[in-house]
Amino acid sequence: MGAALARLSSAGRRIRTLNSWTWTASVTSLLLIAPLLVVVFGLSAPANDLWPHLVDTVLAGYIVNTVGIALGVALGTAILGVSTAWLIAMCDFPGRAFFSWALVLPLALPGYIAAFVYGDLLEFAGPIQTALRDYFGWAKGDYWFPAVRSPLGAVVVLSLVLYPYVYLLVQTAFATQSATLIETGRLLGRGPLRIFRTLAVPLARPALVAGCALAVMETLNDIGVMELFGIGTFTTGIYRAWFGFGDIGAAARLATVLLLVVLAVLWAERRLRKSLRYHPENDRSRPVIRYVLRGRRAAIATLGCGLPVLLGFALPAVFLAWWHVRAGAPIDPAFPAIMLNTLGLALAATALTVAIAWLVVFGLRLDPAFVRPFARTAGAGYAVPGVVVAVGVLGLCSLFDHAVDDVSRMIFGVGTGLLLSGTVTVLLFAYAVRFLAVSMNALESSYHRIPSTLDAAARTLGVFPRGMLVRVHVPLLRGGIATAAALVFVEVMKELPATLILRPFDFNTLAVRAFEMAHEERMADAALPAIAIVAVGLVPLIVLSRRFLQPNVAAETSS
Amino acid sequence: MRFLTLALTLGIASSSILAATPTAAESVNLYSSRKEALMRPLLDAFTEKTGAEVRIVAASGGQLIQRMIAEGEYSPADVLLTVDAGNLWRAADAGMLQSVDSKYLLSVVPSDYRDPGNQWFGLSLRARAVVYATDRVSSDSIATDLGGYIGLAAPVWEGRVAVRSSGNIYNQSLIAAVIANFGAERAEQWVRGVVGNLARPPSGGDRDQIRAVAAGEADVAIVNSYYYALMLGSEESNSIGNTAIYFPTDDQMGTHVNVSGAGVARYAPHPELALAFIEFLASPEAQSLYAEINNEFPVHPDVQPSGEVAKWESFTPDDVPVVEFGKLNADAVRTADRAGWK
Amino acid sequence: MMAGEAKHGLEVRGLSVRSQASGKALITDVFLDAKHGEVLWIVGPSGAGKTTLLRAIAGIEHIHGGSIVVDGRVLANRSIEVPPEQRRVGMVFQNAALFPHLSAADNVAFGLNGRARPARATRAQEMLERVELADVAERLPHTLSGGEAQRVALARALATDPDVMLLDEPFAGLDPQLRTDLAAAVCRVLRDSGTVAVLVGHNPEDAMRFADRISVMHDGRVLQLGTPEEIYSHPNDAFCAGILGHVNRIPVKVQGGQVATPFGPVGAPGFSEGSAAELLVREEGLLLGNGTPVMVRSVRSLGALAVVAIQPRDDSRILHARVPADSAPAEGTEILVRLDPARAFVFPMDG
Repeated sequence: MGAALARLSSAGRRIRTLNSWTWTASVTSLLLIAPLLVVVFGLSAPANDLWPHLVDTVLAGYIVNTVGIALGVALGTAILGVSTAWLIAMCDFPGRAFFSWALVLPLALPGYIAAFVYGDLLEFAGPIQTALRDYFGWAKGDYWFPAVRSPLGAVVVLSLVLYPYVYLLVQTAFATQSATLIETGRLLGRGPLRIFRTLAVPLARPALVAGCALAVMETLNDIGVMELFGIGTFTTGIYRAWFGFGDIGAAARLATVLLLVVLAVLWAERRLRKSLRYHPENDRSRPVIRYVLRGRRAAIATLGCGLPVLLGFALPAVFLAWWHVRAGAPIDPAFPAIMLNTLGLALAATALTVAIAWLVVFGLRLDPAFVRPFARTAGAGYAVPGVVVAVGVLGLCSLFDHAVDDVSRMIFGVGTGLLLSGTVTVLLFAYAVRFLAVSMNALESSYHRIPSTLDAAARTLGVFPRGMLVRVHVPLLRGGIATAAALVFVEVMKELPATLILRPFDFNTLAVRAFEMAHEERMADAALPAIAIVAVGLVPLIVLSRRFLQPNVAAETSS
Repeated sequence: MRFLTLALTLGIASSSILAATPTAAESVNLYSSRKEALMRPLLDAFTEKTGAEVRIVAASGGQLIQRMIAEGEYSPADVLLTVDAGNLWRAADAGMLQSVDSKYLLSVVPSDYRDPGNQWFGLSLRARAVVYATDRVSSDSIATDLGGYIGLAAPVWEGRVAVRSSGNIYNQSLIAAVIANFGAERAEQWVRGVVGNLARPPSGGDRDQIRAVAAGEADVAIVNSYYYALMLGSEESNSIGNTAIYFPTDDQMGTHVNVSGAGVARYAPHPELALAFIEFLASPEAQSLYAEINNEFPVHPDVQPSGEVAKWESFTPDDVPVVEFGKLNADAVRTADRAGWK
Repeated sequence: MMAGEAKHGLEVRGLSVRSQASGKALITDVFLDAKHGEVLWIVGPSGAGKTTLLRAIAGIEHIHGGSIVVDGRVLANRSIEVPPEQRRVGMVFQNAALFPHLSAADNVAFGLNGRARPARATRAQEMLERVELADVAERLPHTLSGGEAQRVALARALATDPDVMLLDEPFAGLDPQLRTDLAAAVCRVLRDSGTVAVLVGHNPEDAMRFADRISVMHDGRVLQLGTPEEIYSHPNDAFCAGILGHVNRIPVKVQGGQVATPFGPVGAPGFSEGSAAELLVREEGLLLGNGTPVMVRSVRSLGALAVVAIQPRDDSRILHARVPADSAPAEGTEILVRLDPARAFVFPMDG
């Protein structure tokens, strides 16, 4: 009771002393949550009999598929991410330097494109099964082949393109882990595997949880892969109820369930990370001495890093290119314009999203207790399907436009019509809602490395808050900003559903183009924009992975 | 703060550059669920003929309708064009279309293929046909072995049928047509029968079903006619050489035909131009292009299909008006859910 | 700047601070005052609330009661809380908290707003000279030694000419010789600057040697405030007696206004007859030469001094005496010891 009162009264004081920044941060967060609230308020829409029908027939399947695939992807990305991160951080083998950044590349490949390529390659009528049948003289039913268009197929495809989240975070955790701890383990006679299992992985668990959470969020909001593979999940269910039935009530109910799941995942992630953090990461001055692998072991390591890059990136990219070349399709004359448009859009969205994320994270730093609830919920947009965000944004902008119009009519007698709806501003806003969490994560982890006494020192020196932000935080956060910007940029390049619904007239992006062509099953025409998405996304990703790459150190010879 | 200001300015500046699309003196704003690449030649032809620009946003029909609802009375949309009757019916049902008075459209578009209230008009026709493997199904006897759609539920086809998911509007409209012809109860039995006959769980697009038949995974596939025509005209034609198309018909139900079509938006800023655009799409010169570009059948009775489509034998279309597909859509989807058609 | 006006210095009245996380009281009803040109040294065990007190004065911790006033200007009370950037209070943190991306000179110039660039540079150089570090101006913090970093931090805080300077354990983690030299230098600079200086430190010897006054804190309260001599010679309680040096603690009973010791009675005025009390004898208060015979159990040399463990006859208790090393006795011998009454204190038993 006394504690609660103390908290209340100190909260009251904080608002007074810090008001403009913390308020701006909180209000901005609220603004980003607002589209989701618009969706949830759809709950109040009358429930017609579609909802009970869904509960009776397909809901159980949605739950099983959604949970099963999310868990599968968490496991898949954990296995791929941790094992490759360990090899890169702790071992020396042929190709290590190359793989240290190449392992990030699958992030540039949109899941729906990977799903498209693998669906085509591995289906019964695809080249691989056809070749097997021709060679062995098999017919249908003579042999077993895993169905690619299945929940398991979705888990594999999504794991292949999402594992880099885990790889990036865990690799950094391994590389910055106290060298002394690892060396102590070695001196105590523990072999590499036991050190991996008993020391390195437990210490890297917060990073592992954070990476898996990102992958799970991406999985929960995925619609492209699920549609291509014919899998019913909450997200496809929302899509179907909303756009198939036009039933906002049922869609809102499904979306609310999904939002609750997302909030639970976010909450669990915070709790796990907190309870698994053993010590502040210090002592990173000295890199770990890596194990040198030779012979068979080196070959296994090279293969272990090569396969994810091959399957998650190289193979689909080559097939896209091959499709394009094989069809000898002329290059779409609109292509350069679309490319420039996409770049401009991605850059603008990145600047806006990172700036907003920074504002929120800065508010969080100034007054954690007050801003935290806003900031945490504002991040939820990441796990919400792009279509749901889009419709929420659409509804919100419409409310705003109509309110402005009404006021203008009342005062000036002239309406303003639609100010925001159908403009790029709306699209940028939707991207900010979707990708705030990505940039906030990067900035926050960067902020954690700035000791709070630096803030206190800046304050007592009289430069607050602007001087503190510009002269202390900005220079110290450069790396975090670069990471946040790179991730948002790649995400915006790949974003599809929100762009489709919200874009202005005659407005095309590479992702839209690739999707439309793929949807028309014109793969040759879809290949070029898809390749362009991947190619443009590579640039920031390579910069990013170079940043994470640890400095080269002399390796010792293993016994 | 300076950075924030800079970033915000940059963001807003670049967005206004992106948004600054030139506005023609007169333009029609088209919300289309037919992709831009397929519409572009028609849009250019219209501009050439009338001098009016056509601006386009392409997305799925359901999404475009939601966008129109959200934008309300200020929606910039003039014309809504979708690739199935169900979504047109739903847009009209939501009050997002307006009734138009066009003698030309009434004379050109047969009454089965338009809204009785004149809110929307079909512009092209596609049949939901069956593609079968000629090495496993005799082309002489398919009319007796299979007959109409009802035949797909017969035990003889167990493990031999390929079809995409019931989430697809074309399948929903097919189920609706079966309901309209045979009643709800028989239709549900039929869906259960088809699901029991599937060679594999529903997945992929219509082309994937055709490939499955060609490769031997299934013997018959339910697909839209134009996909088959498109494949015949592509480099894939060799690999599907062992297939043929059949238009299911029996005593009670003809071949299921759906439309792509368009209507004038309820709050269209340029309603006259909008109507002119739709009339243009229904005109003989546009009809051949509109149908040909996607290998469909023109809705205009005087315009003949072209290419592969012209080689197919004629069929008897079902006589249920397409507006029924919209009305019965909800029932159709529920039937599919209950019968376990994924 | 405020010449001619009365400069009262720092006045802390009844200050209370509670933890924001748990609501637990961190400091309670603290009274303090310090004048310009004076170095006030706060001593106490860890967890006593020393750092919290500094942070509250700096304004980076919220207060829940009492007031903080500097030169008549209220910085904080129940209704006012001046934000730290407007307090004119400088602070040096335990880890120096230098901005890692700025050179020493840029760190010092950091708080100098509203001046032309050259003026800032000159002032920064001037401040670095004052802490005798003119030659490290262009170096980055991670290349500085601990002592250098602390002096740069001091120069940085002093550059803005604060009314009050707060130093939180500025000498922690330094080796003894460096620590003493640095403490002397820092205190000299602080006194010269004419600011009110409040310093938190662990080492009682430094406090004795360099502080003008000492404040003893324990459990969030100030137990005694006075000159080093006052606290050494007239501690308020057993805790204050023990904080400025090593003491022997002997439980005793008061009889006839005094307590009995192996070295004769010590006066205990004001105690009720028969009450339990504790006798504290400073280790340097046990003098060799004459008095009561005791056995020498062990001798440990500390360099100039030696600690002699002695056991009076008929007593199981071991006591320690601190004597000049060259006059230390040999182990196992019997010597005579007497007690210096000025270094022995009787306090009521805790509880």
